[in-house]
Amino acid sequence: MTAARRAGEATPRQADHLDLAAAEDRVLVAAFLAGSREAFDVIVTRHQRTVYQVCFRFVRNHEEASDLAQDVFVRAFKGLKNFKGDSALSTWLYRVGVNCCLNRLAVKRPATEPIDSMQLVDQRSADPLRAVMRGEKATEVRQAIGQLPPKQRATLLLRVYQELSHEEIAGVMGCSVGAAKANLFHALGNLRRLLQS
Amino acid sequence: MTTHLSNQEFVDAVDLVLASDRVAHLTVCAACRAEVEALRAVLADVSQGGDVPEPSPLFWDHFQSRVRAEVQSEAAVPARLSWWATLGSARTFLAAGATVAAAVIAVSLYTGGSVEPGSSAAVSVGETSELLGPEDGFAGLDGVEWGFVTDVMETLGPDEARDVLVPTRHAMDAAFESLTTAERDAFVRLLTAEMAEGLE
Repeated sequence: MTAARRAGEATPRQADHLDLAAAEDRVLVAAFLAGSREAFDVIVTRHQRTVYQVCFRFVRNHEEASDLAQDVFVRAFKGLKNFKGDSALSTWLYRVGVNCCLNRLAVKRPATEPIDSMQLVDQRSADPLRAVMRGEKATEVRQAIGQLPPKQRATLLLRVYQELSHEEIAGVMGCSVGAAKANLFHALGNLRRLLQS
Repeated sequence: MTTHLSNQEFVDAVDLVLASDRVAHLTVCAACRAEVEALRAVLADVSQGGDVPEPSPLFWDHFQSRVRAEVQSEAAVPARLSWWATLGSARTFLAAGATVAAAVIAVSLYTGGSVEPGSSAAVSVGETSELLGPEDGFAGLDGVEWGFVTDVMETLGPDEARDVLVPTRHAMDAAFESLTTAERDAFVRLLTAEMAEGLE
């Protein structure tokens, strides 16, 4: 039995007739494994922003985030044949993305806070002083997050910004739910110390 | 008095999913309550730092194209393809590999094995062929072959080049897979052309 049949019964001929843009992720994966390159294009379109956001939150740099996100999808292209379907495709992509980011952090120091990030402050705010203070606080928080150990940073980003459940985070990080929660606890504790210092 | 909350229970408390018997501990333990409140305050601060500037729409159009181009180039050389299979019969490959391996060893001896990728110590084709001739046992290596060998050594360094070129299956496969896609293509084209020319 081919991987395509195991995954979702889609054959190349069937894939041609599927409305790929509206298809569920598992159908897209099956279509891709059956030979549909268009299905992979839809996977990229559907998940590119999320993957990019995860990468950006790790490296805080558009160029690096773009390269990492591209790397994630290239790895996904090569590795989808190993996707067992026991988790959501988005969770699997998170895992690939986090691993790419952790590997990148392992070989280089994280980028410094770009000056352009200050442009996130809304100059039209009714209270510009408060807006500036919020912007400064946000910068301070981002810098503190950048100092966390990589796995604590990954857990925090996935929980707070990607709003993954602890179970999903455990699946992405390849650890137990208890370990994911403990990682988050330590991340928050370290952040508290960094923000207070 | 019950034990203080564990790390995992503090996270559950922040998420408002703490078990009821442990909630009872919170009501009587000021230290644990303070810890939970401190964690919530940090979380509130963290939520302010997550903005991701949205790239221009053009970025996403180009992103799709770049991914497509990259996977197409990757698909041209399957990841697990042994370059033995690419070049055809093992006998043909061994003959070519032995020729090129001899050249590699000669070049590395000339350079003292100290060629670093991109370094100025990289051997030029002309220098190598002037110093090594038929009496050195390297008859038959023309300019293209020497150029290929020196290109590989400039890219990979002498030790890595030996791993690629010396006919040891595992080492060569590992080294081949470490090449970029463009390097693999160039390597296969050159070696295929040279084998077709020199082994008829």
